[in-house]
Amino acid sequence: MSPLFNWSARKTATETATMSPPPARIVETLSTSRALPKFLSALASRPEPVLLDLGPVVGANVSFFGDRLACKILIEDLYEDVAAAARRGSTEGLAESLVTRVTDAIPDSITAVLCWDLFDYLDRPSARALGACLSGALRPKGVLHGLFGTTSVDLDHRTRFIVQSEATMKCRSEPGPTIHRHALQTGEISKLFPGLTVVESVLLQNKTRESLFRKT
Amino acid sequence: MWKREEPVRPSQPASPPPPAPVAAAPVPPPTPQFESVRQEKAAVNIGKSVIIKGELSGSEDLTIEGQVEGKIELGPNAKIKAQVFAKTVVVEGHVHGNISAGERIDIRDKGVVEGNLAAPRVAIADGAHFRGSIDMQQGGSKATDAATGDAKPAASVPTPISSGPTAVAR
Repeated sequence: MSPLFNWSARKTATETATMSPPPARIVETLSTSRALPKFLSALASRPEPVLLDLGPVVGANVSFFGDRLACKILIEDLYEDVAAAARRGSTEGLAESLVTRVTDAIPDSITAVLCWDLFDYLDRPSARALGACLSGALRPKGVLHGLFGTTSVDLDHRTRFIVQSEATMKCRSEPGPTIHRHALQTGEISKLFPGLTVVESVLLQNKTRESLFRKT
Repeated sequence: MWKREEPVRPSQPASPPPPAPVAAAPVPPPTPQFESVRQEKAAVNIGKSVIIKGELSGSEDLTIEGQVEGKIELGPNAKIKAQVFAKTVVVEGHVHGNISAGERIDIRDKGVVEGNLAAPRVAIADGAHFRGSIDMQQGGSKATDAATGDAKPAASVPTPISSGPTAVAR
């Protein structure tokens, strides 16, 4: 009986290995945020705040910001455009498409922007164009939160950021198309958004630079 | 016999009336809608003047420009192109239009919504796709505002759907 039982189990494992692809790797890490509390304070003090989120929709974030701030949230996942450009193998037209999407999404002006790590995946012209567009759309004293990688590398996954608390984010890596992640220098980052000043800039444990900008 | 005939032009002053093999009551050409139904399988289209009271269910594409009062339930592959008003809205399929709820909007993991949401509470499951704005400031009282807002991407604004307690789009 034992060999028969073992043979059954072995066959099942073999069949499984050949029939189905390995499951996609999803890695989650927790990260403490220094800028998020200030970002929230800036939003909370504004009347009828409007928050522009440039990442994929995350239900937990919608609930978090909605419950705490009762703000209007605009969701425009610009990573889709970046991924499409990567699949095409060309960034031609990317800057224009990003600016157009943001311009169409914003009814008038916005109080705050969540860029997450979007700018890591933009070529320099696209980053400058989008940065200028966001700076122009921000209301006075509006804030912009961004995360910037410190190593230049090709990545086969994207990171989804989930706000766990006022000072904690969960970073979930999900499989995606291979896209080159740039490593902007600190000086380059500070010049991305004309008219905005750096209020907070800290290197997180995962070697990501977290930055908070405010419009004067 | 069923071919669309060229419309008879108004009488041309210079030319005499042509000899008419057609009888006094010529056969009218088929209407464009009839033609389109015959020629291709068009999506179900509920016109502007149509009001449906009751339950509407199906599993194909649906465009609602009229009014539906009741429950809308569509299959997983169906798509709604309309504005939705209800006490609670649950989306498991594809909705292109604004959604306004007095209590809650719930987009399930397979749900796809392109439009503006207005409700006191909005829950979006992992895996759902959404593009637009989410307004939880005044929720259902913004039903009128949501109706006049533009859905993304911009399209003709259909007449709002007024639904019962719960509208389910699967």
